[in-house]
Amino acid sequence: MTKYLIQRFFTMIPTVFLVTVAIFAIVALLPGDPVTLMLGEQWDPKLEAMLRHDLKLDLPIHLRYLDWVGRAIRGDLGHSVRVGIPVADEIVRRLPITLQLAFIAYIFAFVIAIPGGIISAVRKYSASDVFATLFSIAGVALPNFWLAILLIFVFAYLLRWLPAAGFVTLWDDPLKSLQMSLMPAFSMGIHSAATLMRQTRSSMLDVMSQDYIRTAWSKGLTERTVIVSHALKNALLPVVTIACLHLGRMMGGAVITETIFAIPGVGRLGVESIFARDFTVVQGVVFVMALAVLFSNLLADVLYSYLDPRIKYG
Amino acid sequence: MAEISEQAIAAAFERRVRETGFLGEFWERFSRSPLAVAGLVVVVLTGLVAIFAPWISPYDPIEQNLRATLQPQSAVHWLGTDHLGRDVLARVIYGARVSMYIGLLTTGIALAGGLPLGLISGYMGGTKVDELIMRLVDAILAFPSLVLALAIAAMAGPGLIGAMVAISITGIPTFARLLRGQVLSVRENDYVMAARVLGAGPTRISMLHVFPNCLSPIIVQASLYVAFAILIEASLSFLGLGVQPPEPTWGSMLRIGYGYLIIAPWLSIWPGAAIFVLVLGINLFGDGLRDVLDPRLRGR
Repeated sequence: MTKYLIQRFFTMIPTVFLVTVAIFAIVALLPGDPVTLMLGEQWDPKLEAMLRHDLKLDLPIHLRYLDWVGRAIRGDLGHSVRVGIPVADEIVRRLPITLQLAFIAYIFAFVIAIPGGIISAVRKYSASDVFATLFSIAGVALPNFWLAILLIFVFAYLLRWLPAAGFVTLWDDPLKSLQMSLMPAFSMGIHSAATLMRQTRSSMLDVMSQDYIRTAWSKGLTERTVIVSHALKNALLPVVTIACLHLGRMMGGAVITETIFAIPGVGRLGVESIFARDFTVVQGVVFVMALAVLFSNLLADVLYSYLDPRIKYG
Repeated sequence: MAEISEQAIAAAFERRVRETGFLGEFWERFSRSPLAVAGLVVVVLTGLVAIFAPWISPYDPIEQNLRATLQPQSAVHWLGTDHLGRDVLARVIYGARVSMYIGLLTTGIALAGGLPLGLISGYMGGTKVDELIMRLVDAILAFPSLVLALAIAAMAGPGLIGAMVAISITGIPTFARLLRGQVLSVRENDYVMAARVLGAGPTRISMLHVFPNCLSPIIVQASLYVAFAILIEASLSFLGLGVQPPEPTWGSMLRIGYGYLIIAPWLSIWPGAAIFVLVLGINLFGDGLRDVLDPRLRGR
């Protein structure tokens, strides 16, 4: 297992390298010169040259890339062109907010998907199966920004149960923080809930038709014991690994949800810096999001081999 | 025994195809699922609305009427009007054009980019070229689709072209990876070996023997990608990076509508419902297509 982990980790290196090249290329090609943008009406040739030197924009592109990667490895993602603060610090400050939303979104997804998928599989073709199937089909097609807007309209405006926007961190006011996370996390998690429910249903159906389940039934075990202790354990294996792979989707969802609910997370930071042409921040945010996806893929692989001892890697 | 029954099934399948034609056989299988047929109806209706928009639309979608701003649903304006007095129904109808156009065109471009890469990578499986292509594909797949699309759209500049480039590039690795997997399994078949023994070159084998046998999952994935592209375009337009005003798109209509949510909720409800219904329809159609094209259901 340790050997596999080390091997798997090393195979990530070329991918991470290509990710950095892609990010650097995209950002280097962003239209609009950051220096001209920074100086605005206070343009002065001396000041411009100084700024270009400070931002290393006077260097050839490959040296700029090497400089960026070299510093990124040491955790330095440069300074914001717009406000001058260190990008890494800003991301570290905002990442817990996005991760908190993603965590609650996962809880929503599991709470909806797993019982829904089980009932759907155990009571195949019943009214609850039809309902669960319709939910999983509709949930995938639902644009999360539309859902977010509808939730705001119903729960913040019509019923006045939840605040429409804003955010408080968990350590400032835990209850209020959870309350404010409900709508954004639900709209972030709905796609995952729908796909995971479908996955739970199909793997439960697979497992339920196997011999060891028939044996469990014939031993006279209760339905609850057969489903929870025997079937569910194996059926959840692909569900958990697929859930890990959904982290990228959650990050993409955070971009929109955080913008709608005015939440100061990493997603909103990315959108704001794209509009402000703050290229160092864009680079940093996209890099961190891509790294998160790569690590979640790694986690999915590792979990899979850990949960299923039959799988051997070599 | 198994061989005889398989032959019997294949013969029965061929007889049916002869009697009803391929399309007849396809339709018979497809129409077994009411959800798939419902999906097809939605897709066809939206396509017709998009094509005949100028004839169906009750108003010009960009014509402003400042004396009738933010009107709720009425007999005159079935879906109400927006902050500039533009008819919401007319804008939803014309928005179908942009969505269908972008959905189909970007899927076409993603296929044109992804399929050659997948074919080369799969055919040269295990070589340095395959390794290089797959590492590139992995690198692009590491970006959350919307984040990558946002960054590319920002680079190409807001507008139709920027959104299309962004969505197309996002799709290339998906198709490349899918086709590579297919090619790797198909190229091991005896008929490919036979073609090689007969002296066929790699291009001929790839194009005539391998590629046509990998098409089913590609067709299904392409149909689902159209829905995905429509969602990404709507997201980009919602954030202000897609097609620019006054051109009506469902995403940009929602962007405007969100600002008037409390006083004019219909501005948010209808364009969102249009995206939802179309994406749902395409997904149902794609699922139906998967059931028909699944080789295990073909009777052989």
